Amino acid sequence: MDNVVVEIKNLSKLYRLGKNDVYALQGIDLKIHRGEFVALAGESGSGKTTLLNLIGCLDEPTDGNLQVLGQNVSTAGEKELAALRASKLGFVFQNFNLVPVLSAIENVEYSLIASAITDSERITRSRAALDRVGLGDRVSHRPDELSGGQRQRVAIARAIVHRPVLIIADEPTAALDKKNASAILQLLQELRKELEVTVVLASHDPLVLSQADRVVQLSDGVVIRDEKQGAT
Amino acid sequence: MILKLAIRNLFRNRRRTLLNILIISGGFLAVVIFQGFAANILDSTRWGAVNSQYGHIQIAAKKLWEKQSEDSFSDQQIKDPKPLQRKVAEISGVKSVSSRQTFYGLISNGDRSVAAQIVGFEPDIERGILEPEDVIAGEPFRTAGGGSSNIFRVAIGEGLAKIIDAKPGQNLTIIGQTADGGINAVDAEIVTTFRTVIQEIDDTTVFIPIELAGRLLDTDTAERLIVKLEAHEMVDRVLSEIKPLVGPEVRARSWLEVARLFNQTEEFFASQNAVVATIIFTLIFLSTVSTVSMSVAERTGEIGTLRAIGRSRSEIMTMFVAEGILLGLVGSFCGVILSYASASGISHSGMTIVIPGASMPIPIVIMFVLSAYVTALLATAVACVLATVVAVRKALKMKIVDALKYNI
Ligand SMILES: Nc1ncnc2c1ncn2[C@@H]1O[C@H](COP(=O)(O)OP(=O)(O)O)[C@@H](O)[C@H]1O
Ligand SMILES: [Mg+2]
Repeated sequence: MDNVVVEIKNLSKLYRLGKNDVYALQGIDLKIHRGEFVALAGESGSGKTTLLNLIGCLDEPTDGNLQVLGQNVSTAGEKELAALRASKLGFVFQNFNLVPVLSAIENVEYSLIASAITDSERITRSRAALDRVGLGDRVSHRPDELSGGQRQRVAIARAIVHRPVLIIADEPTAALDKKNASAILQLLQELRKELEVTVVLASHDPLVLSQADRVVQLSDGVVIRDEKQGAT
Repeated sequence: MILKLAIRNLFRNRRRTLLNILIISGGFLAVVIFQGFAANILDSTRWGAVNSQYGHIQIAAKKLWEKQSEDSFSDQQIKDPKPLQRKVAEISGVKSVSSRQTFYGLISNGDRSVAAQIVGFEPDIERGILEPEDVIAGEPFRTAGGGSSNIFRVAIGEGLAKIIDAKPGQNLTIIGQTADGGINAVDAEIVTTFRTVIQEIDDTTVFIPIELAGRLLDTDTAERLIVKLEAHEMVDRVLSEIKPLVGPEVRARSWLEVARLFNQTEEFFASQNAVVATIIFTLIFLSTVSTVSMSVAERTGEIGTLRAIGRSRSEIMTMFVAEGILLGLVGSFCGVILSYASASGISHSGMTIVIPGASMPIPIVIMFVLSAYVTALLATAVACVLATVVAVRKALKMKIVDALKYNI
């Protein structure tokens, strides 16, 4: 149990669109262990984002059981889930989602705003996180003064600065060129080892999938393949 | 961090922020100017009322206050007013105590006669009535100068003078009813024609020395004592000091109890102020709702992201409310400066206004009313905070996953 970060049993997510019911996910069973690097694969519309949102405790399942870090997502309250996300999860988004009026370091600091640490510690840790992603010389740049790859690095710094257990990344490289995409991927790989963090990402990019040590293939809301690959 | 975010977000869309600040300060200005203007009119009315009509405190027989028709004339009078007058005059803060006798009579200057309100007063003690600036023809109205003939003089209101075509220098006959019900008449010289700020007085009133009134009515009582004070605020204290001095038949009342017109004016302005303030703060509220709503709509993705990374609804609300408050503060600050500058500008411009019931235009002066500024400040703050809450609450109801679909 200690080793299981995410446990999913017979999970379904139903969207009601007028009279039509759309099952975005149907009968998913999945266990993700600490330190894994899992890629959710599948065509557009296959349910990757829906599943990631559920694992990220951003949404509630229609049916089935979802445990994230021992927390039952269906029964937990909004505040508990927010606290869980703030302390144990890190998010990386396709379009970086940085706060435009904040500098790189301020964006990172924002992740620590509710932590019981001093201002100086918050700044030290944020600076260290930016150093780690290779942006030590860009701390006071605003997002619009940074390239796409740099922005995603800031976002990753924001996602790791509070030492999460699980990083959730929805198409983290889709908005980047090949070179930046592989650099970001490399960075996530390194961080996973350094910080012993679990990474779950969604992508339809073969390059990304080749880097993962486990690929979960979705199609029409159903897992059609789940296999480990390569050596970890 | 919250303040930093608020400032930067406000700067992010300068034009929109500026527009909102403009609306807030404009509203602020309107409220302050309107209230300052009203306060000035009230204040002049108040001084006018106190000076020329009511005094700060009036002392009269209880039966006069109660005005029962079966009471006789003498029941409604203060008997032997002089000692009371002297004692009240010794209370600190009292500027003057004078007696008055008001009654209705006929006045005539030969061919024409007309009913008039006759006010017997003590022109040498009671200042404020018939000040030199009220005199439009003849001489200032005084009796001092020695010799009993000096009491046979009257001052006639401008409107009344016109009706009977009376001029200073002419004789006027006043006919009235004596204390025991007989008819009596006295002759006096018109020495003054006057114009006060209150047209009603000018159209109906003849002022005469109280000694002349005593002669006409054949009495040495007084209808009432008029007490004038050094400041409006002393009324309550002096009232309480007068109480033990008067007998059981007599009661002292503050002018506010007596002055119906003033009370109505005050109520009128109070409700006007409230209506204007409500309209303006509604405007401020609505414009802030629209500003914040636009900002919230643009920042839906940001809100979703912040919530995703664990920020609570209340933290996000706080962030926006800080913006709202800041907007309100800056707007109010500009409003204060704008209002103060415009108020002194208007006050010094020499513009005048004609108000109903006043006989001449009075200068427009915008009084500095601290409470107007404070009210405007508080109301702006409330309007801005409320507007933010209204605008943001909707966005916070959205599910995180839906908010995340918006680009940041
Ligand atoms: N909010 C929603 N309302 C209705 N249908 C939705 C909503 N979100 C996703 N879907 C549907 O759920 C399915 C899975 O979508 P999604 O998880 O976004 O797929 P992917 O991320 O793999 O492209 C799609 O058919 C999509 O149209
Ligand atoms: Mg997707």
